[in-house]
Amino acid sequence: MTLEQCYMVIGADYEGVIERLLSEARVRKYLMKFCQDDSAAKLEAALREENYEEAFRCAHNLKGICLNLGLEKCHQSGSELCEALRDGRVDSGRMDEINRMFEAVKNDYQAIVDAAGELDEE
Amino acid sequence: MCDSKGNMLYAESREHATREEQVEHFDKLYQDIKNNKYQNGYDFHYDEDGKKKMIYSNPLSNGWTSVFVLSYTDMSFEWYKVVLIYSLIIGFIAILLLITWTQWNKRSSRMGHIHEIVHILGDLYYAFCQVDVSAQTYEVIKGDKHKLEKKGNYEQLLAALKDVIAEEDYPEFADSFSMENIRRQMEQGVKDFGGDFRRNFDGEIKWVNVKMLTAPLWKDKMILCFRVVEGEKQQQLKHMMLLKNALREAESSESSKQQFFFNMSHDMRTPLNVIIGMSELAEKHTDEPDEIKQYLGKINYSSKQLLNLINDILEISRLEQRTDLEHERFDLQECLENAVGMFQVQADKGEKTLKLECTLQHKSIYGDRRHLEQILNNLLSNAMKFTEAGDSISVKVYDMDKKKGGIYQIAVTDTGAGMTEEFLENIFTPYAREKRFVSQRVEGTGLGMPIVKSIVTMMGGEIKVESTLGEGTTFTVTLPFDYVEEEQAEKKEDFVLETAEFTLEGKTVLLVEDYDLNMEVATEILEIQGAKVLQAWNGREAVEQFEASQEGSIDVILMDMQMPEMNGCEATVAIRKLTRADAATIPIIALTANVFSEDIARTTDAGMNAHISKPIDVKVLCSVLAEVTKDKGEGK
Repeated sequence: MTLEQCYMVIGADYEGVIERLLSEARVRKYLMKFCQDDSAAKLEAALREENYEEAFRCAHNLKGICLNLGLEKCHQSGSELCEALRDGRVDSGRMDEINRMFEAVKNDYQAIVDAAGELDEE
Repeated sequence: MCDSKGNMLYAESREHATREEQVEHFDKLYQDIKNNKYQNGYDFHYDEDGKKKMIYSNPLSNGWTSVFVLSYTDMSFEWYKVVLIYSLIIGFIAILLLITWTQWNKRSSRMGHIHEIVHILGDLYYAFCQVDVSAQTYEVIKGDKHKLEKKGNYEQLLAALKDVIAEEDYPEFADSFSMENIRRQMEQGVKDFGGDFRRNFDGEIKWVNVKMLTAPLWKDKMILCFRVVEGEKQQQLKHMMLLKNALREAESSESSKQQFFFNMSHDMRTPLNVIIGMSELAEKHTDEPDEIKQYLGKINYSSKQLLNLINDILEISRLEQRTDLEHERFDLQECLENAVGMFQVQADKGEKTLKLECTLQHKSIYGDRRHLEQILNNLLSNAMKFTEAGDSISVKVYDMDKKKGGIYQIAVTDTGAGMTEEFLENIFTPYAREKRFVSQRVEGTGLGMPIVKSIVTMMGGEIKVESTLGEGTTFTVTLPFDYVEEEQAEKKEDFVLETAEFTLEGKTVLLVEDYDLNMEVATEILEIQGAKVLQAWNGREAVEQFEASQEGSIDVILMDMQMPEMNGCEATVAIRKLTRADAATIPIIALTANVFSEDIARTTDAGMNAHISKPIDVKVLCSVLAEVTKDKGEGK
């Protein structure tokens, strides 16, 4: 599928990203990089180790790159997780909530990776 | 005094002379008297010092002579004194009289004035009655005397009034103005108790206002004043009717709105059902691409229809909340060309002619461009809907000069289907769904025209429609706009260009960002614009790099907020503290991912010039930089 279709599938802002990065090739390049990036994996690891400070930084980074690439859905779920982790501490009562948020991020991220995998070769 | 021989016997003098001197002086005087120098017994002479003196001599019966010498100045002094005293007294009395007279005069003229005013005020009332509450009597001061005794019992007054006050108003009047109630009102210190009732004036019913006037000085007395208030009352009643009507209208509008939303909900359900049904079908035919394509097409169509409907509903409710109008300068012709241009492709496709004719004296105007575009869009899309191949649509615009600003007329004419009279009547009425703008072959929500009408009215203009079935329709919109005088327009244009022209071309940017992927994207965005990008991976590195750079070589620092080691605010504080010329002036712009959670106030406190939200939008960045460098007076 084309990049535009890919963006449509994952609920991302194609027009916005093209306006910012000007060429499809560039968007494609960064999208691929994003998919190969280890932020999501790092985030999962940090959460597992209950290192919430690190988890916050990972979520924050993820959120930032999603903004840059117009990946709105993932940015949304990333932001929510990021805000929940902001103070660097998580009470045991909020673990479920955090986990649920992380699942959402993971799903959105996976959707991006899947869709990017379907991109036509240039 | 002297004897007959002239020997001085007695002398009394105010001048302190010795007796010898007195004798010597007297001898000379006596000699002159004897020689009859002075006539009639008294005369004047000038003494040795040249002073005028009065001489008075009187021979006594025993042969002695008495002589008086008086100084003239003494005599005249006494006289003046007397005159002065008398004149003072007379003057004083005269002034007293004058004052009394003027005061009396003034008072009498003021009394006259007050009398006049009282008279005028009195004319307002057709009757006055003084009522003695303790004696329960009345006295007519002004009013119809032949129907009522001048004085009498208060009950008699009420009885007389019963004959003239309208039947339905009398019970309340009698109740309110019963002796008992009056006394109660007076005790409570009510100042102007009263009300309105209808009274029969020789067969003519008029509204009358009665007022009870009391004064602190009169303990047991009050005055009843009666005034005809027919005009006022009628107006008041009219207002009340208007209010009642407005309320009724609001209520009916409310109910028609509810009906509208009910209808709209129904309308929404139709495309939604299509979407659900089609997606279910698509699911069942996953291995038949052609079928799926067909289903998807229908889903797409229905979704768009639904979106249009929702947009229109939102617009209607937004307009009802009275949005504020913008007042920006723009080129009307350009705006019209854009608006018409948007429909060109559609017109070409449908083999319709679309043309724009502009006859404008003043193209540069102040107004709400967005709303004007919306009006044009709605009118043109409406024209598109009701025309077929071979028809033509024209937009004609011209302006008229007025004293202040211009009047602009935009006419959108089509040679399409036209509308019936019945249809025209309700074309601008929102919620009147049964006569709405929908026919089977035409898509749309039918809210376009009510929206246009709302916007035009909001912009202080008006809209008219003329249509003949089968011949076509003309919508004429008249709008007031302030126009820009030509010279001023050009000057402004230059000015705007100057400030807006800030490019990153050739500028050196220190980009501070800890996440490699973001750094890469942002760097590329900036490099596309021709900027040279220096990268720092956290706040500490940013400070070090800035410190190591040549003074003035970095044009701007873009600073991420959340970073390990040293965050954006701390780094900014550290940079501002450096002792070099550009440390205080270098623009530092915060890059924030979320303006709501990250504390914007903190960035300002730390010494940052501005903040922009991620992702970096070059246009926003340039305008922010233009603003910041303008404020700084441009360092270079």
